[in-house]
Amino acid sequence: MSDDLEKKDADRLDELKAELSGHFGRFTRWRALCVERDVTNVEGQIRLAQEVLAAPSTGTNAEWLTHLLRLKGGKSFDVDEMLAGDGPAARKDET
Amino acid sequence: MAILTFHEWTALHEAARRSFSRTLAKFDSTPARKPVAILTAWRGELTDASGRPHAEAVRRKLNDQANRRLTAEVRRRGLSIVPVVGAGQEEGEDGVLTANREESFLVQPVGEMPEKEFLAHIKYLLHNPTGEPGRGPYPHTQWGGVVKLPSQPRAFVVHQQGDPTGPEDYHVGDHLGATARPRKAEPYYTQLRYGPRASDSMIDDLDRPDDLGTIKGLPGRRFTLGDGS
Repeated sequence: MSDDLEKKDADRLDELKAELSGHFGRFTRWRALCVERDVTNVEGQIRLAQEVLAAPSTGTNAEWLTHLLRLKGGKSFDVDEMLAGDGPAARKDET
Repeated sequence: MAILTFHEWTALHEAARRSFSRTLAKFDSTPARKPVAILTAWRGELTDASGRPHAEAVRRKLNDQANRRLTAEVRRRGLSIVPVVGAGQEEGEDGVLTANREESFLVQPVGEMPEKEFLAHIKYLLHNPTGEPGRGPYPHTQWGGVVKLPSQPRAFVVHQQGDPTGPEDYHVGDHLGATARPRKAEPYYTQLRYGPRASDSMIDDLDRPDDLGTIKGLPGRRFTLGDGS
């Protein structure tokens, strides 16, 4: 990739990060998605930022906190299965 | 033995229910007697009919109205309600912190209530906090809320995963931790609206003069749920 294109992508990513930061919770959601999907290149990060900005959001503390917990490595579980059994059950899509 | 009037007894009971130590005990890892949840009808992103975000003043007014309807819904279900403020501090690009504060409620059963029944109420209230008629979507539908159950050592966020169609979609949990302690520098906390002013160690630079505080206009005591580390 040429230097010009790399610079253009880097600038675009900076714009998207600024836009993400303008909506409470979305920057953390983006960071968590990048970690979960192991996306480290600029093109992938741009794609995920656009995905997060297009997705519906409540902009609440609960939503932000969920993504923060995941960013810190927390694993989700199924609440109903936990109450039906002896303890927290990892969600099927995460086992 | 002093005999209290009903009014005095009620005032003492309310004060005890709202005390800091008693509030922390609700989230303790040792088996608590009753389940407890932290809920709100507030939304950070609230759009008009055309999908555009409301102006800040309108958003706050609509959120306040929604919370009043949530209060009525909670009481109609035989649950008690204590006002608190939920706060989060998101770290953005270059470490810049953005604070978000929501008028929220601690909710518990008034009498005995099985955990599953309590959780069913909470799921319904998260999906339709203002008791709107019809099947939705509803303007104040929530992402999730915090729950601590007597049978579980850890509090958790119970939530949906986007575009919920009913209370049954609120089945995903993420653990918060088994301790409730006075807030130090943690980026999320719950602030009491009754009782003494918060100690300086609970407060930080993101507090603004117009922030919601106690009923007396002071920053209330704050606690954080976590893993104790």
